[in-house]
Amino acid sequence: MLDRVALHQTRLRTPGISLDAKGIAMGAKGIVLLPSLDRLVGFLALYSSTAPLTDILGSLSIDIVRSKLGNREVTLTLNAESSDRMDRLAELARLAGGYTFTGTNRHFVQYRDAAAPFGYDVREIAPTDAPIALNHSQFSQHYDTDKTIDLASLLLRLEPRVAPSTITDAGPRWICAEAGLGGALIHYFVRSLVEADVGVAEWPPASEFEQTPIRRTLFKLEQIPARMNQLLRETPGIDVFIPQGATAAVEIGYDHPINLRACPVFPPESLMLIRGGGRAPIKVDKLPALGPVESFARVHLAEESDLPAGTAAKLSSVAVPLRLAPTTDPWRNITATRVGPSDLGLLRQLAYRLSSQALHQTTIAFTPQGAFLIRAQGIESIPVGEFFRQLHPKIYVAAGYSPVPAVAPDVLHRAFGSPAGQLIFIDRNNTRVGVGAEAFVPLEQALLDAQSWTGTTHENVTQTLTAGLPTVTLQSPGFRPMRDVDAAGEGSQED
Amino acid sequence: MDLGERAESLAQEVIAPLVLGGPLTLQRPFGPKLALEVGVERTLLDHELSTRIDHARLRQARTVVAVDVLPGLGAAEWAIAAAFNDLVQVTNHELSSFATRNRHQELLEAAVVLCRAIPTSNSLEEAVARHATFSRALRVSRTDVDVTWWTGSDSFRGQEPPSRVMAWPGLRKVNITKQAVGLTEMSAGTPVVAQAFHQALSQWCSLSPLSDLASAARHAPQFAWSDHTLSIVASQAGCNLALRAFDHATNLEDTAVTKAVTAMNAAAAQLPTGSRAQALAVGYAKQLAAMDAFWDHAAGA
Repeated sequence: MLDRVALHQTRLRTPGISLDAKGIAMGAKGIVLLPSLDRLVGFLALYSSTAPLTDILGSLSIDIVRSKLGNREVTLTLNAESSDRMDRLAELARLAGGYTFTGTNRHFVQYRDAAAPFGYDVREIAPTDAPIALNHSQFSQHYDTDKTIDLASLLLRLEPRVAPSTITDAGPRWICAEAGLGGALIHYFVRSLVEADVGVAEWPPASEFEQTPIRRTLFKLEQIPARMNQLLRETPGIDVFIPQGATAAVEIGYDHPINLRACPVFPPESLMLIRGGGRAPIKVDKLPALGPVESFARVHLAEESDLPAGTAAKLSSVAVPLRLAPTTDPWRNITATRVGPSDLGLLRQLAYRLSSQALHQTTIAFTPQGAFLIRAQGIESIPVGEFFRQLHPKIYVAAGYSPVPAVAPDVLHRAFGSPAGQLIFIDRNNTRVGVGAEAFVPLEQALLDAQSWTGTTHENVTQTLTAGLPTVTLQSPGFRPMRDVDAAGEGSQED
Repeated sequence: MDLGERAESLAQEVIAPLVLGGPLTLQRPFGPKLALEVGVERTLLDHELSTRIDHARLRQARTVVAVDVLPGLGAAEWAIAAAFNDLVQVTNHELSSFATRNRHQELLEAAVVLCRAIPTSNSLEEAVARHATFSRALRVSRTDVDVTWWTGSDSFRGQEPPSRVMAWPGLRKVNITKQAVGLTEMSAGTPVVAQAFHQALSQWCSLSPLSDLASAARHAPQFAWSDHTLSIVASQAGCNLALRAFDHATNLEDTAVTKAVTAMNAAAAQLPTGSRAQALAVGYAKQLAAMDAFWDHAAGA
């Protein structure tokens, strides 16, 4: 049914299959055929145990397919991208009892194995209208898609396994308390000086006969004191969960068959609390606002209500000098850097590694204070020097610092006198440097010195390899041209 | 002139142009006896030319089989080159005068005798070596020039017109017409009958069986099965070499395949009916047609 692809083979019969740089027959997609759902879970467990599914989630599609004979199997389709990824898929599929195929549209052939290191090619394409035609060295089968499986739903439907070892694990925890227990638990934590964040999540009423929404209190703890473990775990109405990534948590004492940390399939603002013992998971579609439990500590009011009043005095002047204060805000809009004279050598070395796009988009100005580089798309590609944040089209402030008082950028620009054609850089020492905008030239123009070159000759290789056709030129064969022929004739007669 | 000088001139003026291309200057006819002796234990004295010839032959050989080394020119190849020289010399109008017109026919008969005396290739390696040397022989051409001027005209077969004929082209209204003449048409204008020349040429072609099979679709001389070609297609490895040579020469064009298969079947009909030779010939023609059909189908799929 299949032919092995040979080394240096150039023609393949399967549509959509071509040879990659290593000479391996590959299509744009890969398919893993698994006989049942439990094998699919096994495959996903194997995959997620060693690597995250992040790379393949964008193109991953899990379908239940049905053959002409009516038996259902599971296919897992994803972009092939490279033979490295496909090799790993094939190894895991083999371990999970599945087969791996590659192709582009409809016809898929068996992916390479030890018997055919360069892959397989079909000997003859069978015409079909089925959306998937799989060609294996042992069988050829056509499949229709029956149903698509959502990976997130599958993960929620899988029941966690009992794992007692997780009970003693230390680390952050989520606690979900039923409505009547929330307040008591808050005060218990406050009294016990346990640092925790608390929030209240709501769900619609469970049935039409109920009018009030279901409320549960959620706690987020960095660490549960050991003395509380048993109480929290065994109190009915309180469930303790171990976080598995940012959006999922599994009840303590249980473990999910698939590594949820490797499967970021749930919405980022949600939280899935997966419970063991056959209980349904708790879905928090939108995580509620969380606040420290200390906010619920008991307060005392002062008995004196009359406070001495101050009198307003005339203000002389409130003008203060501009300063820079460190800020913990995330770095944004970092579009400039100053490379000091000592770092210019590093910039020269870095220039060889910069992409053409970065070279084209970056401008540079040389000043006695160093070279200022600006790139509107972000200066991160040139990781050298002191970074600046663009506060205003004409003002740059040292990254990690904010001007205080926190006046508007336009006001700050006016305070500098609105200099036309000048870019003002304020560094962390509060030194202000104005650089003329006309001083900035594209980095690619500034990089190269005048290059010397020498001419050389070239050899015409084509003429060497393509020999011309022989052409006969006729000329007189000379005196007695037939003397050798005649001599032979005489010789043969003599013989 | 001793044998060594004849051999050097044959190599430089005939063998080298056949392999490397360029102007081919015919040598004085060799005749059967001298042709069979000229290459015995012969090596070229011009090492640079020898290297260039070897490289070009190896390049040609690699179109049919993956080899890194090709044997040097053997005695048979020297003899085949001498036979080619004699055959083309038959078409040289300078060979005879008005009183010695029968020289052309004598030389043609001597060339036929020589072709019959050259042994078949002993191995596929030797067949590949012959193909590497003589695969381009049928593409040899001659340039004839017709010059007309205001008071007359003249024709020059394979020669450059003298400068006096072409002097003052504007004033004398000189008109020059060049025409390329293929090997098979070169006998025109000589006392030799074209059919006899074609038969001799066919015999010469069979001396390099892979080249002969590769050019089976040619218009003339008509392909004919010979001991040389049948010994090649008798083995599967030889068949494969011949199919590759044909593929490389024609790129499996449909018309070429059809012509070749037709010519091979027609030539097979000339062989004794029911003989193994005829079965081999018909079998190879079928293989050629099947290979063409396979690639057509593969390209269509």
